[in-house]
Amino acid sequence: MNSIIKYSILWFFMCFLSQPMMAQFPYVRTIEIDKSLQDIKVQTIIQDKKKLMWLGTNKGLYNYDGTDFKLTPTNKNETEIFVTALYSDSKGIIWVGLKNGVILQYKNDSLNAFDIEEGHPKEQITGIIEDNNGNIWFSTYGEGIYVWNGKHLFNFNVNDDHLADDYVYCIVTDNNGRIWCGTDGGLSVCTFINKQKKVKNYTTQNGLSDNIIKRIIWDKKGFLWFGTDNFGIGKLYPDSNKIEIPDEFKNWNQGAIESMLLMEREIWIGTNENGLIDYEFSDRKRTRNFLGADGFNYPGIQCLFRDDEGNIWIACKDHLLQSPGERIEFLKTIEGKPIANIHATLIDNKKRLWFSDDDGLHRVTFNSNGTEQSKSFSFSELKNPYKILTIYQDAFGFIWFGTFDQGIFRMEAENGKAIHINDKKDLMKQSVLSITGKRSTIWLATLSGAVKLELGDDALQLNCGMQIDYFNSKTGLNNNFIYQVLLDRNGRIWFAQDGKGITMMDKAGFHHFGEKDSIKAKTFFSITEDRNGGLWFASTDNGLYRYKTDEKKNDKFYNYNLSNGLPSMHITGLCADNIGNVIIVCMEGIAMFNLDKESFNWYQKAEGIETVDADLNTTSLSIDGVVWIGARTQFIEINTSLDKFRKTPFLTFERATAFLDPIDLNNYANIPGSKNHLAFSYQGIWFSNQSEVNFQYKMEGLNREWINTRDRTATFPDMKPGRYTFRLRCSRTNDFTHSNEINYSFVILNPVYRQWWFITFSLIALIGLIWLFLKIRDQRVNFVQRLEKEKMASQFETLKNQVNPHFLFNSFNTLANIIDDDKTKAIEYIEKLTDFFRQILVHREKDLIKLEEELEIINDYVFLQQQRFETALKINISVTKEQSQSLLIPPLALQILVENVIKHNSMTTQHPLIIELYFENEFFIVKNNLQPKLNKERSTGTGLQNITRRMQMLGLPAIEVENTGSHFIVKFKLADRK
Amino acid sequence: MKKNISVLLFFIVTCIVLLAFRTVNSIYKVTDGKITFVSEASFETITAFSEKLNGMMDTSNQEFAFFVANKSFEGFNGLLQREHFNESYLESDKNPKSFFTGRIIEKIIFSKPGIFYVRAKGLLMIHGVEQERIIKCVLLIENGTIKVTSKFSVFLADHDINVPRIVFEKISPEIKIQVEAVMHEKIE
Repeated sequence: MNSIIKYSILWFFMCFLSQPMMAQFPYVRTIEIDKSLQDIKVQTIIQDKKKLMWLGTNKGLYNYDGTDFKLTPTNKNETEIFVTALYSDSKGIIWVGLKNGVILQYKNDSLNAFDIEEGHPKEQITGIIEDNNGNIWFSTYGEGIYVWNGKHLFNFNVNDDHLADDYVYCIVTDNNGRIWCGTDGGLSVCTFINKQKKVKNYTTQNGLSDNIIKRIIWDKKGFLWFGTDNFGIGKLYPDSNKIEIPDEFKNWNQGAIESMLLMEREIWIGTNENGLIDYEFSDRKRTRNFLGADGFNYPGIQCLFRDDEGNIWIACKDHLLQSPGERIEFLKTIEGKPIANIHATLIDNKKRLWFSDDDGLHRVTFNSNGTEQSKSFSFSELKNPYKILTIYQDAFGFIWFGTFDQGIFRMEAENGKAIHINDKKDLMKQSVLSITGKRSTIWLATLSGAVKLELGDDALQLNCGMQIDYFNSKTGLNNNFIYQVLLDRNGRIWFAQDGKGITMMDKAGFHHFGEKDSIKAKTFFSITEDRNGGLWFASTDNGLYRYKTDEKKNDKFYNYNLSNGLPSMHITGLCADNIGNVIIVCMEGIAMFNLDKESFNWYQKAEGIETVDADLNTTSLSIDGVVWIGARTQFIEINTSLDKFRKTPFLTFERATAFLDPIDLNNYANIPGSKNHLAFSYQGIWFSNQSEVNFQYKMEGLNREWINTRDRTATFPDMKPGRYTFRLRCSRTNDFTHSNEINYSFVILNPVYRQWWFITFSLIALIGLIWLFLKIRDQRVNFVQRLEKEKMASQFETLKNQVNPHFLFNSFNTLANIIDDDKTKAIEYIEKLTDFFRQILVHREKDLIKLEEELEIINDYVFLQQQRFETALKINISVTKEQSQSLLIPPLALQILVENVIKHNSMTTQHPLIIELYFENEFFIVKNNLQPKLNKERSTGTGLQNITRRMQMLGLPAIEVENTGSHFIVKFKLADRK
Repeated sequence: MKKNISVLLFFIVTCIVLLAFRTVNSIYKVTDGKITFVSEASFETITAFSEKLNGMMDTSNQEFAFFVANKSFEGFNGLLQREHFNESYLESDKNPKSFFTGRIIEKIIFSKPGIFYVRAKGLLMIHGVEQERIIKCVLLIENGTIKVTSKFSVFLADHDINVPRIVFEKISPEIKIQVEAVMHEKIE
């Protein structure tokens, strides 16, 4: 028990002694990874051309868009995708190297094995890079390095090619196409030109501190930094082969270097056991170990990567961290004491920090090991408690500070000797709110007007002579409450007043700016002059005012508030740097207005700034352009010159679909009318703070106004045919006027039934159909009319024949002969005659009658004629009952034929006229022996014609007439009943 | 031509060195070797083979050397084609042999029987032009024998073998090669 306490005390002291007093750190935050991905260890990180982050892990390849981690599926049946190397080449292919030596390629949205004849390495891929000839290089841990020239894979190793070692940790390229790799046996420089290999090695014999080179980084200045296993980092100048180990690394005891990241002024070094170490190599040289600082609690750093927003990604063994890096740092304690209630801040000409808090005035000097030293000053003239409201350094190096109720002091910066400035008008009792000046002129803003101090020729003496002038409401100012005085580059003097707007004094006298200049605000407390000579005024309740010369050379005031991008209305301080930014210290964060882009940028939670809550005079610009802000409990150091990164979310389309079918967004699309349900998904990549990204879209052709959304999809159901352009933009603020826009134009086609060609075709077809219908109907009507006409003609002919006086005369003559001889026969004759006429009357209206019925007529007719010609006329009808019932014939056709035969032939008992009616095949035949009369009876010749036409109209074949010389044959087809 | 001789010299020296420094039973020699090549052009497929593939391997340092006499190739689609192969393309009088010499990348324990998928890195010399190549091979190691099989391709252009434009349709620019060899421990 005792020993435990002893050791605890010892350990406590060890910690206390070994941990130097060091308090300035960048901000770091943990990226929340899904709970399901907890045991994933990130090995390597890259960013692709679409700004997506790719994380190579022990459990596969993930991509991250700021919101979701997505595992990339692979087609290959790899048992284990343990990613150890990643590279995005110039063609947009992502190369993936695995622990088991396999190389994969991610292209066209899928991850596949790299297909090469030579086979894949069998040892871990440690690095992949493309040289400027388009060759892809792979470094392996055990097989040297490989290069792929697009056709074949070549190998460099120790035995064959004199590579420094086969165990290679890293690979980088230089501008000359040379490949530099760090191995277990030194540094190798390889070239591969026209299949010729060249290798040059650097080892400890050349002055390397260690043969095991874990990391290499090229510096823009033409040398390279190398990180070793055991001896820290060093610099190699390839042109002179000079190797240089910085003093800070000559006694390195932090173990193996796993990763290195080069920034403008700093190198971050990730170690295996001692966390993250920062080496600042600019004119301020210092090394700091971040282990133990807020958020930097992880000793093992796997990899470091900086994205195009300037965020640094830190993969620790179990965590993924993000940091804004060297751009912003925080000082939270000084010599171990927490900072509180800062009233004034100044960075002097030796880059020392001066500040005042409730305890008085302090000066902080920063050491090269990252620690700081503080010196406090006290003054016997100052009664306690006191408040120093403002600190200023004049052109002669003296520190001035203004107090509440006790005037101002001038003090020697080094030894703290000070004088309390006094005059007849009791300057000693003034409350000085701010001090400014130029050369030997000092201006004070006080609660009873402005005071001008003109230093005498002995200004290099602490207690120099001075001329003091007072300006107040009696001498031209609007108000005696002056918050700040500013001397601009044109020699004008500006006064920020309480309740009475802005006043300017030039050679002509005083000028007041207020409502007439469209300035709504009344109280101004801060003024600054930007790089271009524009003036900026912070108001208490109405945002910022900018005094600028417009294109027409008129000086004008412009107001900035939330609607045009100012992130906050709670402004506490203003400051302009010399590279074109106006820094606006707000309650919730720090805004910056960039004069070149004319837009606001915003440091907030992502950069570690929660609440600023600074006093009025706590913003100071150092001679090297760094802005220091004394916030309530910390100093914020902003290096605006290092922030050259993308400031707006990177907007891209993710995918677009028309009724779930993907649309190729690289090409203009004609979308069928049936697929008029469109959906767009997009992303505005802003890893710094994805949650502040707002989108605005407008479907040109459908929407009149921009639609604000935070969703990453927009859907448009049931779109009408027409031309559209989907326009999309995104912003971190409510101001979209400076944001980039992406758009996609397309056409929704008319549905088929509204296409011009379809309509034309349909119309033509319709007209055609109507025409056809009319024509057919016409033909039909004609046909019926003609049939009717022929029928009429035939009836007329028959009737005419039957009422032919000749027939009647013959009939009656016959009857007269019979009447005397045989009364019953005469009656029969009359009956037959009547029957004959009745049948003619019955059937004449019909188109067709049964053959049976026609034969009855024939029988009656022949009976009548046989009474007259007796045996001289013979008729043979050989028709079966079936035939006579099933077949149809135009009425009176046979009667006409038989009558014709009787009419045109002579007959005697010796030479009887024989009429035969019978079927031959399908034809019905009326045949008689030819015995033409000597005196021919007058013939109209209409009988045969009439029959032919009627048969034609009924669709029956024409009748055939044949005269053999001995016989006269009429042949025709009958209609079937069916 | 000079290169050609140098490669030949290199080969001979390698052989001598191999023989001189070999440890006991570390040299394996091809006892039965066959090499086949196929040219699959759009109009014609040409196949030829040689059963006179020769070579040796030193298991102590994994170095190897294989060679074949170009004139030993048989097959082809006719005698004229074989003549062309020797005279116009490979110029066999000038370059009588083709070589592949180098070292196996993977470390193999030759005393352990089994199947090993390895890559041989070396210089491939055809038509007097050498190219560095990595060639995938399968080694089947049994007691005292190593069976080597390999498939790879050779681009004619890599070895300065110029094919006249007229026969472009008949000869593929990429020749597929298959090697099967049985190696035995060399017993003095």
